[in-house]
Amino acid sequence: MAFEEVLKAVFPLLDGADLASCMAVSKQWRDIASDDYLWKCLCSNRWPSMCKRPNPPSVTYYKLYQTFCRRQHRRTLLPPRISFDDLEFFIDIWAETTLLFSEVVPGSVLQPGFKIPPSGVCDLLKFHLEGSEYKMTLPVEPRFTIPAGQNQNVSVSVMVGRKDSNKVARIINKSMFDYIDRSSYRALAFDYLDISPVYPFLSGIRAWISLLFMEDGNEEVIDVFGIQMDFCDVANSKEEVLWLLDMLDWK
Amino acid sequence: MTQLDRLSVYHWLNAWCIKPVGGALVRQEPEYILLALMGSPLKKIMLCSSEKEIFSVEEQVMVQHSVIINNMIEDGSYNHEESKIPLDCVDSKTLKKVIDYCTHHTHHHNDNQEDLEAWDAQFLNVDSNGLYDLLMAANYLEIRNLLDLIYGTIKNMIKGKKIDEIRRIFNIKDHGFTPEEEEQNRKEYPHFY
Repeated sequence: MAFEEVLKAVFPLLDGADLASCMAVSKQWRDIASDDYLWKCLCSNRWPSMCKRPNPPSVTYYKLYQTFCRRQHRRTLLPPRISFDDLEFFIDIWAETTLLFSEVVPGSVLQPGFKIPPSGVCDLLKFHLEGSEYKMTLPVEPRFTIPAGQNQNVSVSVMVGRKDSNKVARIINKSMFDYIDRSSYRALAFDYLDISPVYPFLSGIRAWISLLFMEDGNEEVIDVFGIQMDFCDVANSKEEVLWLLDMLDWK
Repeated sequence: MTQLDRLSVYHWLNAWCIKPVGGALVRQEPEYILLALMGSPLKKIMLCSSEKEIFSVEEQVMVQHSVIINNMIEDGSYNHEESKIPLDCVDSKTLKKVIDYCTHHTHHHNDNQEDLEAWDAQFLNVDSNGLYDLLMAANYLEIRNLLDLIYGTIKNMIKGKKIDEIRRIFNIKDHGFTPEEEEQNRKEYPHFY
């Protein structure tokens, strides 16, 4: 009795994980362990209904078992279909009716954080800027200031255009900077994203935009040195952000 | 007496046979009692190993366990007066162990499951060459319960082990995969290495 026959007698006694190990032990073991009949037996224990047809539901019972019985690995994102080089952001910031900031920002200019924050930035904000969540940041040169009396009514609109299809999508319609975090010197506004109808059931994903300002004694004036945008509800890496942008309702 | 079923008489006597007492080997083998009562010994058969060593063993013991030997006795090809059964593919050491297994299981078939399993585990406490030889012998002689026992043991040698361990246990020096294939294996089964 060749050793092969021993394996042929022992393999039917193994469970799925052990038989899968055998597939990688050696070429000889793999040849014997890949007999689909063995996997059919395992499948019929796990999912008896799937073995009632003469043919396996997927190409082989081995594939069926491996696909659905494996431990859940973290799902890896496919590479995004666009890059920041394909995008440009149209950002407009008003105080009442006065335009404070209006720029077309190429995607490549937005970085995930300040390399060197200007002096005068509070420590908490510095800490936040170095944080691990992915935020797109734009240094504002020259800095603009918001007069105190009007900082209740600062609003922002952000649109984005893509070069590959010459379409435009909206990120933020017209939102007020309702929330001012004085401890970290940020003013925040948000809006809900319009996702393309190709991806139904997705709603409630927000785009956040923050104005970063300097820590100076003057409470009257807000001295903005940077603008930050993020989608921290769902997207926390460059790839995730690019995917999310790709999924917007481009028109 | 000749009309009685020898095997059932044997078992009856076995149940009554005197066990060792206080270390003294006072033991009456059932066949000697039977000898005393009947004047004829229980049938023995001769098995001949590949090394030409002869082993005498009770016919009933081997007939119970080995399909091959059972067939030989039944179809009359074995002549008790002169024949021995040549087992050219089983060496003496292995044959002795096989006889040991069959004898124990016949004599102790009334023992409880745990004790039998413990004995089996001890019995199989051999190196992998010995295990392989036993497997070949059990296959040749068609001893189903010994075969199943050994298959179960091999299964346990694989169960729950990492791939490197399996290769070591089964002495697989060359797995036969190309470096690319081996890398693919590691990616596909990372938790098995």
